[in-house]
Amino acid sequence: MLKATLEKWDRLTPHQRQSVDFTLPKWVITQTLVTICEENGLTMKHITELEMMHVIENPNQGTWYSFQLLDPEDDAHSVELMLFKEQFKTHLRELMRNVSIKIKKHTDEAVWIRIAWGSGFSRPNHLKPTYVVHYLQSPYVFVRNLTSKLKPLLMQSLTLSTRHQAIKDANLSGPKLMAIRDLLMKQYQQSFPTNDASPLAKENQPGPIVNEQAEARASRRRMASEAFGKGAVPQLQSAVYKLETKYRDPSNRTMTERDEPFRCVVKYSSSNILESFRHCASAGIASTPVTPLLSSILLKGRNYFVITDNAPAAASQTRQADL
Amino acid sequence: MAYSQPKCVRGCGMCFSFPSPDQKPPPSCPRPLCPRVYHSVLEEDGIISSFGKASTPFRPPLLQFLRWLRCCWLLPVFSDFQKCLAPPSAVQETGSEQIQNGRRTERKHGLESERRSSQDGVGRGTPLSGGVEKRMSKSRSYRLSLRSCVSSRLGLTPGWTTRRLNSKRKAPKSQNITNQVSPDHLALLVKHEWQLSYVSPLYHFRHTQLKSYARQLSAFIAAEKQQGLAVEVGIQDSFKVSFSGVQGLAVADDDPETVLIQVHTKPVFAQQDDPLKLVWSGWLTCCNGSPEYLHSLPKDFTCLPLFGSSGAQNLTSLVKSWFQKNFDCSFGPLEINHTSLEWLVALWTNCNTETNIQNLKMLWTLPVEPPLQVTYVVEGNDAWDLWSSLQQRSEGDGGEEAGWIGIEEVTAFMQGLKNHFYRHFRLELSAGNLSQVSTSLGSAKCNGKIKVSNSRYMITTLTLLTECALLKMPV
Repeated sequence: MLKATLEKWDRLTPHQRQSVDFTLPKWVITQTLVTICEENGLTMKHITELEMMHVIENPNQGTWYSFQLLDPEDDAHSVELMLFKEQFKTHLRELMRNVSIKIKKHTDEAVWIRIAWGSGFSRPNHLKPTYVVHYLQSPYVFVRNLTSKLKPLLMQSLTLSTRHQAIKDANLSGPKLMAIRDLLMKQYQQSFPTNDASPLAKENQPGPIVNEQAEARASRRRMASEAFGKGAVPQLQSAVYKLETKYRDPSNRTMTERDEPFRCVVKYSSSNILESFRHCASAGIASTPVTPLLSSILLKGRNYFVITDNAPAAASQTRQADL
Repeated sequence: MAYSQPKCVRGCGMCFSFPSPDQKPPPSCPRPLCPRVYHSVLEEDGIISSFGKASTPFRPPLLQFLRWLRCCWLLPVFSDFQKCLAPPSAVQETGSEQIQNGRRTERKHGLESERRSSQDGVGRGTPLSGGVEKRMSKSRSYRLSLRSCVSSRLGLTPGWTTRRLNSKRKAPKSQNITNQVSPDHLALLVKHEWQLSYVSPLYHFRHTQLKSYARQLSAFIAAEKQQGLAVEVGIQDSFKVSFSGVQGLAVADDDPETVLIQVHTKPVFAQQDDPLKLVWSGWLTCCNGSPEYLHSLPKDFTCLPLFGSSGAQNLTSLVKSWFQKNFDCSFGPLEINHTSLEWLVALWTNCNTETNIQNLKMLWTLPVEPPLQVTYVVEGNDAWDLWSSLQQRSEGDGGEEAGWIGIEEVTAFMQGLKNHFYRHFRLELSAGNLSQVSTSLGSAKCNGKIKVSNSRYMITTLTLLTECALLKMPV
């Protein structure tokens, strides 16, 4: 991984690149690289460039949080790259003096921003940068490694520079950037409910053997793919539900008379939860039609839910940044 | 045939029911009426008519025998089962069955656990309806009772096929065992997560010779290290083993005292006063073991069925092989099955009034592709409210003795939690496996790892685990 990035970076001569032996322990490689960089007279600026390239190639580390911009103003659609860059840098520098900002446009229309934060008195800390990914003309922003103290600053700069009026938490987070991007921007194969469920070609049933459950199984599969997508689905790794509903059981009077909610938290985790849910629904472990709590993951593109009695279908907690 | 039983006088000729038609079976004897005769009796009484039927239905002897067994299993009084005469077909087939006994015993473990899991708890009784399934469960129980008959006739240890987890259990009061057990030992027991195994009874184990055992074990470890078996703590380190008796954990009168084994490393260049580093610790215990079983053992055997270890895996296997060589015992992994995990859920939730459990966390694994893990965390006080509401209901119905918890309450509690889950997600948790439970009092995993975080409930947890270990005894 590092080798490929070094080649792409193109600031080291081929001879220097070959002299780095990647089979040695990590600290040896680090020492070698530091000496080479000193030879070439490279500064922090170049190193941050290298880090950014590396992160763009391998974004699946840490946790990405997604946000959605709301209420676009009239000229929001005409924001293009240069304007956005200037505006963002100006706004952020107004709010915080010592920041180091690097903006780069990737081939797939994504704008990557690397921010190293300092405070009023200290220089930017390049060891803990925040990464922001934004797709221009879309309302979605993905952020990694942002502390809650600095969050209002970033949110304000983003909102102003993209000509929107508000930004909210999209309640979707995960380690794989591409997965949450695909989920939010609906880049997966969707299955729409149809009245005519049977395909044109008939299945060949061998002779007198009749599958009794064929119809039930087909309908389960259909409902599963409507709720959780067909084919390859974005690789979401976890979903969290905070339940604050009352315990209801007609045979248990004590619990029914209880006023407080029965608080519990349910977390689903798997290497690909959407595929697991799809399998659950088609196998019958999840009763079909699939409950809106589970199908909202795909349809609404979120994986953090707070369920209360008043609005049982995915009532959400929004965290709005004040302007 | 070495043994012949008078055939049924009523003339069906195929079964061995009442020798005389006037004899009524005693109420405790579960022998059913001969079905061939019953059918003809009903015909005589005009209840059913055989008009249109060619002949009375032929019931083969096997089915007859299986129906007799089914009645046996329905009776809760198992001592009567042993007192009842074994059906003659079992005895006459003993000759041929004994040859196959070896083959059957190896299936015993799986069958026993299946039967146990099917017997435990309300709503999970042996399936009594449904064609093929019915046949299968009967044939299993047929083989099991056969083994117990055989072993009781041959004078082996009395029928342990009737062993199962207690269906009633005393609710734990928090026991302050800090007076009984030394605080160092307690701190050690509470600190680690233990991997559990069961141990068969030890032969000629003397609690008075612990020091010599310690010396022998350190010599054994050193010898194995010399041979090159990987004990990779350090080239120059040597091991110091100590055996100690832990008083206070052997609660019942028959329980042998708990033994704690600790392995410290002693670096070669250490000074006199340098503290030794603990690299491995383990214990053998028997906590409230079943007195019948303990009494049934021959004289020289000590029963310490529960073994817990924490530390490097190679040291664990060395210690186990030393025990196996010196005391002729065998070790095996102790998995905590879902019934025991459910018991722990109930017992720990019950303690919420005395010690706050904070929250009840359960981990289920659903068998889909890719496997889905569901972590269900319930707020401690809410879980306790649900538990106590179920307790009140059952007390109203049955008049249970105060301080006892029955398996029905445990099952109802788990069912309540699962229903709340199902109401929201419509996902059936029973389709998966319960693999871990934890509260602030401790955590238990189905692969046999246990951690008791609060010393007050140590005895209760160890009692449950000792029971599980005793169930897995090979004899």
